[in-house]
Amino acid sequence: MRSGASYEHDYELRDKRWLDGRAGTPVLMLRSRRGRLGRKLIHAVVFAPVTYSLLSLLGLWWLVAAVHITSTDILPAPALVAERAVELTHSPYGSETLFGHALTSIVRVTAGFASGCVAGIAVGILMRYVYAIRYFADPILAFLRPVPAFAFVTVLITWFGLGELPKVMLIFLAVFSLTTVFTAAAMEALPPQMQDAARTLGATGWRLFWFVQVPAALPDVLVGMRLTLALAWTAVMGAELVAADSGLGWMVWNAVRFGQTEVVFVAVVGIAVIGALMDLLLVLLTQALTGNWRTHMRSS
Amino acid sequence: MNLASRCRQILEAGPIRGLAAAVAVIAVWELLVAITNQPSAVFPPPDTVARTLQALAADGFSNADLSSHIGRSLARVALGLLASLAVGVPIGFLMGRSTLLRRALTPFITLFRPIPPFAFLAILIVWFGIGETSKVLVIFLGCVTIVALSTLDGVLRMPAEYREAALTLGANRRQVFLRVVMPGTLPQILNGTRVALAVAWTALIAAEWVGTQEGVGAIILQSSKFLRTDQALAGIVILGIFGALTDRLIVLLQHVSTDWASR
Repeated sequence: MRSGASYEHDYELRDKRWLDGRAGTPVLMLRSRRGRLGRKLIHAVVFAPVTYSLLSLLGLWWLVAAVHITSTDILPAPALVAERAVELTHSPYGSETLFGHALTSIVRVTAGFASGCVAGIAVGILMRYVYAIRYFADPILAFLRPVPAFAFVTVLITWFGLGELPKVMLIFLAVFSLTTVFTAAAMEALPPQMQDAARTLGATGWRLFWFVQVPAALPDVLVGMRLTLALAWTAVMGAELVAADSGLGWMVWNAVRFGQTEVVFVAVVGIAVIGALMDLLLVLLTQALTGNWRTHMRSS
Repeated sequence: MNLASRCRQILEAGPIRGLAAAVAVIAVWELLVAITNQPSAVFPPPDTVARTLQALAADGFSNADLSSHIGRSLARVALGLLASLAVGVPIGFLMGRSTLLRRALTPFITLFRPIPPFAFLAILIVWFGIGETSKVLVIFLGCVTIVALSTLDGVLRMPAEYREAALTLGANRRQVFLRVVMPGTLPQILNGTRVALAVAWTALIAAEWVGTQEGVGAIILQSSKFLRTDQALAGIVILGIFGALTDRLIVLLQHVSTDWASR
């Protein structure tokens, strides 16, 4: 079915994929409709630019550190940071090793992100079908959306103590409101012709929901989830700033306090890497879940 | 028009809906206070927070007027956001113009965008201390990638025919840029600015958490330190009001600046 021309087309669009990934516009239609060639393409797209940017950043960092414009306290050389990172994998920093802190943060993010997504998607779907919920939720969300979840951190600690609950709640708050907005918008975006067509063919009730609404909305919801995942990482750093003795965020702030610049870099790079990996996981999930729905929708 | 649809029309009006939602939130809040039965210092009822808000407006907070705290926060957000527009928009246009530049820069932006503002803040504090520089810079860094990408998105999305038509009609390149490309990408730029604004408020609160006595974030932090939960909640309400107002401002700009689309 595929011709050289459409391959070209795909390749041209690859810049757009990077663009729209988190910009909130659905472009999941670009990939995944090809077999082996498609996979090659994914590799070319995902790995080449990332490798290139990482390598040049590292090069720049190394160069600036090497010419000693600044002291090591301000900008430690990459080798120094790597050395410290390796050291921290077996000797503990504070209560745990690097892996221990990373795992703590990952668990917090995952718990908050998952619960926030489930609740947000549920409310978003309800907003589509229940007028009363839509009536009240719209203005509340308009008010809440620009309020950073982080502002609630001390209040949450007052209410729920110093344990894991307020931290997970904070991430939940950061994820929930935006997921709701995304889901509601995605549910609204179903072209009326598709709904009419499905009705004409005899679909009603849950069939209409499951086989038409959900597949149509899912790609947009998944794109939104990539955005909220980044927010979840922001939130966990906030939560660990205020009251924690573990986690990568705590490492960063503790190291800032004691002027251990290499540790700051180790933890920040760690957060960036884990965040990127979780993002990649979400992209793969998107691939697996949505396959080529959008392609068919757009071309029909 | 019959009575039912008339009622419905009134109920659907924006301000009425906002009011209804506010009433609903306050009612649920009161209900939660009644159910949980916590002391007012832990979970204050809405009227306590309203009174605290009034007191804040009248007496100010830690030797400064409320308006000066709000002004400080707004100035930081505005400065960071405007700086990110001043840098991000030209970068976006340049990336839209040159494929080479686009290929070269996109991976960096992709790499930087998901990094939380807090992470930037930590490094900025190490580099610049806890002064205004790192506060504005953290807002700038959080916003600039979003602005650049949405500008680029706008340039790439604009149908080539628009530019070609203008060229055919004898416009020179400057005119094409000023009269076609700029207004054509404005909706996307403003969309991006709106997303960036939410990031800016988050970054602001993060920035005001560390080493400052002034700003809405400082009010929230200081209040919670002394278990003045009512005052912290009042701070959050202020934040919400100004967050929503600035958000509305951008939406208004969107309507005004894109009326060409409906012409």
